[in-house]
Amino acid sequence: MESSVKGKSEITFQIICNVVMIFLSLAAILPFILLFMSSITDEKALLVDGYSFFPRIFSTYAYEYLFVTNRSSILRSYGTTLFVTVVGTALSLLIAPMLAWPLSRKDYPRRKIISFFVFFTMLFNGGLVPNYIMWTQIFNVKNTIAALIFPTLLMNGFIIMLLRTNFSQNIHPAFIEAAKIDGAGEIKIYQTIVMPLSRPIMATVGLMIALGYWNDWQNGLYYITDSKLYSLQQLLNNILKNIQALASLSTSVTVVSDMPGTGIRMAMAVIGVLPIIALYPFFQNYFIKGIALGGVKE
Amino acid sequence: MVKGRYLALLLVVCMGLSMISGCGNSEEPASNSVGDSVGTEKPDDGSLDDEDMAEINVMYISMGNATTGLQDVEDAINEITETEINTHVNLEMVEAGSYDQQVSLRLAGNEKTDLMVTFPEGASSFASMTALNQLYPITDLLDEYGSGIINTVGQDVLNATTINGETYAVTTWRSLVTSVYICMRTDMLEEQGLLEKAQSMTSFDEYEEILEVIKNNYSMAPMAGSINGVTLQLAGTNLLGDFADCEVYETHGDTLRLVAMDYGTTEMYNHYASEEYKAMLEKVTEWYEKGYVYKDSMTTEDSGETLVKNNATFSFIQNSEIGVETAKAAACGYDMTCVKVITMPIDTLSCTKFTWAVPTSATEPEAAVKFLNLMYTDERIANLLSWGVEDLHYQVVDGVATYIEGQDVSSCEYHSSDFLFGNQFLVKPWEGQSADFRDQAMAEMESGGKSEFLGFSMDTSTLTNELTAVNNVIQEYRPGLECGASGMGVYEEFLEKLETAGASKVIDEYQRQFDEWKAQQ
Amino acid sequence: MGTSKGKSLLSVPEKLLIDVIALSIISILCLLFLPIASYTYKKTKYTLNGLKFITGTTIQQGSIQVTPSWLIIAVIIALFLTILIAVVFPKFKRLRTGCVLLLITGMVQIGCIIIFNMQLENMLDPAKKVESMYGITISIIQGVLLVIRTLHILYVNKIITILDFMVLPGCIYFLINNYFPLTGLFLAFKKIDFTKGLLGSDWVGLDNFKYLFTTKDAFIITRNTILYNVVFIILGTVLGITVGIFLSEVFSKKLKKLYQTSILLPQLISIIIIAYIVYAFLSNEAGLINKSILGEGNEINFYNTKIFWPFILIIVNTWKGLGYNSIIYLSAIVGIDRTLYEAAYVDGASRLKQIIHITIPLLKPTIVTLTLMSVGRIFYSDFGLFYQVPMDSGTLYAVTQTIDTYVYRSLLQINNISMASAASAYQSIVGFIIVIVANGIVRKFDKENAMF
Repeated sequence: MESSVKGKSEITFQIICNVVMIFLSLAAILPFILLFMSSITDEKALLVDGYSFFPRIFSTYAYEYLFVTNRSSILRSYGTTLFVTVVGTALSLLIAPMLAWPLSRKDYPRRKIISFFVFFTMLFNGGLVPNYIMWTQIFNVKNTIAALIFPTLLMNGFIIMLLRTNFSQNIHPAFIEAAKIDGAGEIKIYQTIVMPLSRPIMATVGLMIALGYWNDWQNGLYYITDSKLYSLQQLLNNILKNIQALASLSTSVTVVSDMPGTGIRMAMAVIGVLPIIALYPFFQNYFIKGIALGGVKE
Repeated sequence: MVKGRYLALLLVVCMGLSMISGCGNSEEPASNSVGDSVGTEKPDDGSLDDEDMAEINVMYISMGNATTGLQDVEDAINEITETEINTHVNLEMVEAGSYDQQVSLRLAGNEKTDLMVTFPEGASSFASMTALNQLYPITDLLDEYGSGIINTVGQDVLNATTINGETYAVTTWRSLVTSVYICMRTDMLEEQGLLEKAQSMTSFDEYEEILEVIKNNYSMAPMAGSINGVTLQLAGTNLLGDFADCEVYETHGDTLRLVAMDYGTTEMYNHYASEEYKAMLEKVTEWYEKGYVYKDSMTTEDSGETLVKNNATFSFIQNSEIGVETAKAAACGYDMTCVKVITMPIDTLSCTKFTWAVPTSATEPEAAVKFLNLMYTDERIANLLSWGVEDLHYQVVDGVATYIEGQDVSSCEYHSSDFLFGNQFLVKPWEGQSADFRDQAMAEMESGGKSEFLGFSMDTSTLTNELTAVNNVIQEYRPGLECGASGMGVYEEFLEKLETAGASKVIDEYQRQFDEWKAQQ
Repeated sequence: MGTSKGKSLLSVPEKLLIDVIALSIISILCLLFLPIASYTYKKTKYTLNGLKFITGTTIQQGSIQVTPSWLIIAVIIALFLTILIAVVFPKFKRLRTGCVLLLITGMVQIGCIIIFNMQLENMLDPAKKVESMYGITISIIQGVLLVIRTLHILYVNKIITILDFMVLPGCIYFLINNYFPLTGLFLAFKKIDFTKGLLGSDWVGLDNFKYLFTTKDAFIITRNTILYNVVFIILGTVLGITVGIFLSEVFSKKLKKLYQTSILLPQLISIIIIAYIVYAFLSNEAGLINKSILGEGNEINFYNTKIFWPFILIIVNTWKGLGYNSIIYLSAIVGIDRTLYEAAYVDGASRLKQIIHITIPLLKPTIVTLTLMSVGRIFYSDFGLFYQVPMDSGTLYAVTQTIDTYVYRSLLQINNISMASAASAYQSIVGFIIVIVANGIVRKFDKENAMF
C-alpha cells in the first residue's frame, strides 16, 4: 500500500515503522545467529565457556560428524523430507482451496453445514490410538512414505477457514455473476478468477503447510521405524531421545559411547532450518508479486 | 444415448471381471474352492514336516547404531531356527527413544509382536506392562518348551517376574549384581597427588575432601549427576558417611523409589520420608551450595560421562556391573578411577530391569518361547544377536570380539550389546575385557548373593491412579532436591504432596501383598 | 433428446437404474459363490466362499471353526436393499431421498467389507497367511461404482453442482482423518485390559477422568492453560495487526522483503531447537546471560526460579508466532482497496484515523475468525512450549504445567491409553462448549462473521 499521506507526518511514520521493524527483525535473527555460532564452537569450549556470539575455539567437528561420517542417513532424510514437503504441499494446495471456495460462496446451499463439518474437526480429537489403528490397519501406511504425507498434516480446519475468509473478502460476488453471464462454468471461474486473485493467501497457506511438513517429527515417531524413511526432524529428535533413553541405562557395560554432544545437536538444528531459509526468498518473490496484484480494480 | 453407453460399459466391465475370476487362479496345486479336505492334505500325525512354519516378530531396542545389517543377522538366525524349531524369525530393532511409544501403539493396535524386551522404566517396563495386563502368561509354555531357560536362570530369579503364580517374563541372564561406584578422572587426581587417597577411599567425607581440592584448583564443578539430577540417591542404597556403613535396602521392584524395606525386617516404609533419605538430601544440598555440584544437573541432557568427556566435570556416582573401569574409560575418553562403595544383591529391581516377554498381541506364543529358549542356551544365537555375523560385523581375536579391520562404531552395520539378550554369559566379551571376563562376572554374581525377598513380585494394576499422581509429584520435586538446587526448604512440601497423592495407599497395598506372599513361603 | 434432464421423476426412464440392479445382483453372486478368503493350513492353500461365512462351517476336520459373520450378512442385506430401492426408485416423491438411501447402502456395504478385511485373520485363527480374494474386491468395486452412479444422478438432476464435487476430496479427507477416529473416544470410558482387547474391555464410566480432577493441581493446570491462552490471543491479535500494518506501510520494497523474511524465521525453527536456544541464553553453567552478562557470582538459576517464566514463555511464544500472525493480517490488509484510503486522505483524515476507521473494521472478519478458532482451542496448549522450553524442570511446574503437559507426564510411567483419551475428550468437550457459546455471542452482534 503506497502512502496516501504526504509530508512530515509521513516521514515520522516511516521512521517509526522502520525502527520498530528493524528491532523486531534483529530480535528474530539474533538467537538464530547464536545457534549457528554454537554449532561451530568446539564442544569443550561450549560446555565450559558457555554459549556465546564470539566462540573462543572454533571447530567444524559437528558438521564433519554429520556430513562425513553420517552422510548417508542425513542426506537420505533430507531427500525424504523434501519429497514429502513438496508433494504434501502441492496436494494440499490443490484440495484445500477447492474445499474453501464453495464455502465462501453465499449461494452455495450446503455452505453452513459443511462449514460446521470442517470447523468441528478443529475442536474434537479422537486421540492418538484410534488414528494409529486406522492408518495402520485400514490403510496400511506403516513404514511407507504415505505415512509422512497423509495423517494429520495434509489439511486442517484452520487453513480452510482462513482461505474461506480471504476468498469472501477479496473476491467480489459481482465478478462471479459477470463471469456466469458470460457463460463460464464453475471450474472456469475457479481457474480464471479465484486462483489468480488469491495468490497472497495461497502463498501464506502454502507456507504454513510446508512448514508443518518440514518440521514434523510426530508422524515419523508413530509410523516409521525403518531408518531409511526417517525425516530430518525425526532423525534429530531420535538422536536427542536416544541420548536420554540410553543414558538412563547406567548398568550397561558396553553402551555405545557415540552420543552426539551439544554442538552436534546445534548443527543438526542449523541444517534442519537452512533449506527453508534458503528457499524462502524465492517463495517470497511470488508472495510480493501477489501483493502487488491483489486488490486491484473494482 | 449417454445413459445407454454408460450402462453397457458397466455391464461389460463386470462380466469381464467375472470371467477373469471364473477362470483358473489355482496356481497352488492343492488349491480347492471349498475348504474341506480334498486333494493333497496329509494325515495329521503331528510330524514337524506337516506343521506350517511358525513366524514370529521379535522386537528389541537398537542401541543407537545403524541397523542396516539386520537382514544378514536375521538370515543367519533363520538358518538355525528354521531347521531346529520350525520357526521363521523376523527381527525388528526400534530406536531406544521411540521404544515406549512404539510398544504402546502396537499393543493398542494389536499388531503382531511375539517377543519383546522390556525397558527399565516407562511405558515399556515390566512394571507398567504387567499393571496394564499387556503381557501373556508363559508359565505353561516355559514348562513345556523352556527347560533351558529354567536351568540357566534358576527358579528364584524366575520368581521375580512371576506375579500371582503366573510368569510373565524372563529376566535376561546377565551380571545381575551391581555395585555403586564413584568414578573420578585419573589424570586430575594424579595432578593433585590424590590418586592414592582416591584409590583407598573409605568414606564420603574423604570424597568431599577430594571434591574441595578439585574445585579449588580447576574452574569446574567437580561433581555431576546423571540424568534428571540424580547424584547421590541411587535406588536401593543409602549412601553416607563411611562406605562400610552404607546400607542397601529392598525396593521390591518399585521404580519410583517410593517403597522400601530393610533387610531383616518385613515392614514397608516410604523411603522419601526416611531419615536416611533426608540426610542424603542435606548432604547434597550442602555440596551444591559449596559449588561442588554441576549447576545444570537438573536440566542438562548430558550424562555424567559426556560431561567428563567434555571437561565440564570431574566425577560422578553410578551403578555399574563388573568391568566398570574399562567401560567408563571408553565412555568418558579419559581414564577413570572407580572406587566401589557397596554391592547390591540380586533383587527384584535388578531382575525386572531387562526382561523378555511375550506381549498380548502375539499370535505364536509357543514359537516365541521356543526361540527364547534358544536365546538362553545357544551360543551362536547369543553372539549373532549381540555382535552380528562373525567376520561380517565383528571378528574374534584372542578370545574377545572386536570390530573388523577398517570398521568402527559408525561404519559397522550391526552392533548391539551383550546384556540385552537371553544369556550374556554365552556372548564373547567385547574388546577391553579379558577373555575370561564372563567367568569373573559369574563369580561376582555368586558372591553378591540374592535378596531374601527375591521372588516377591508386586501386582500394581489396582494402583494406577495413585502411581500416576505420585509420579507427578516426584517429577516436580525430586530432580531439584536430589541435585541440591532446590534446597531443603521444599522437602516438607514434597512429603505432604506425596501423601495427598496417595503414597500411603501405595505402601499399604505393597505391604498387604507382601504379607500374603510371605505367608505362603 | 438433449443431455439435460428435467427435475421431474417421470422424465427419468426406468432403465436408468437397471445398471444398479444388475451390478448388485452380480455382486451378490460373486460374494456368495466366488472365493473371498484364502488361507494356508498345514502347508496347503485353501479358499472359502461367502456362503461359508454366512452359514458357518467347520473346516480342517474341526480345527478351524468359521462362525457366521454378521458382516457378510450385513453386506448381503445392504445389496438386497440396494436392489429394492433401485426397483422402487421411480416411486420416490423426491429424487433426493432415493439417492441418499442408495448412498447409505453403498457406504454400509463398503464399510462392512473393510471391517471384515480387518477381522479376517482373527476369524480363521490357527490358519496362516490369511488373505482376502477377488470375491471381495469385486464387491468393493461394485460399491464404489454404486456411489459414483448415485452422485451422477444427483448431478445430472442439478441437485448437486460442480461445487459439491469440489468440496468432496477435502471432506473425504476430513472424514477419514478426523471423524473416523472420533469413534475412538469410547476408549475414554473403558478400563483397557489387553487380554480382553480394546473392544472387550469393561466400561468404567468416568473413572478415567478422575486423575485430571482429584489432584490438587487440577486447578493450577486449568488456570495456567486458560490464562496463557488468553494472553496469547490478545497479544497475538494486537501485535499481529500492528506489525501487519507497519509491514504494509514500509515504503521500500527491499526493506519490506527483508523484514518479512526476518520475522518469519523463528516460525521456521522447531520448538525443540527453540528450547535449546533459550537454554543457550539461560543455563547456569553455560548460558549467555549468566556467563557473559551477569558474570560470576551474580548468576540466576533461571530454571529453578518461578517468577521469570510467565514472561519468558510469553516472550518466546510471541517471538515465534509474530511472523505468522502479521503475515496473515498483511494479506488481508493488502486486499483492502486503496481508493478508500485516498478518499479518506482527501477528507483530511490523519493516518491514525485511517487505521481506526478503515483498516480495522475491514479486518474484522479475519480477526473474528482467528479469535474464534483460538478460543475453541483454549484448553489446548503448545506442548513444546510448556514442556521443552522449561527443560522439563519440576520446580517450575506451578507456572508451566498445562493440561497437555500434565497428561503427558502422567502417562510417562504407565501409558494408560484410556486416561489419555479421557484427557483428550475433556479438552475437546470443553473447547466445543466454549466455541458454541462464543459463536453465539458473535452472531448476536455481527451475523456475517460468525463461524456458522
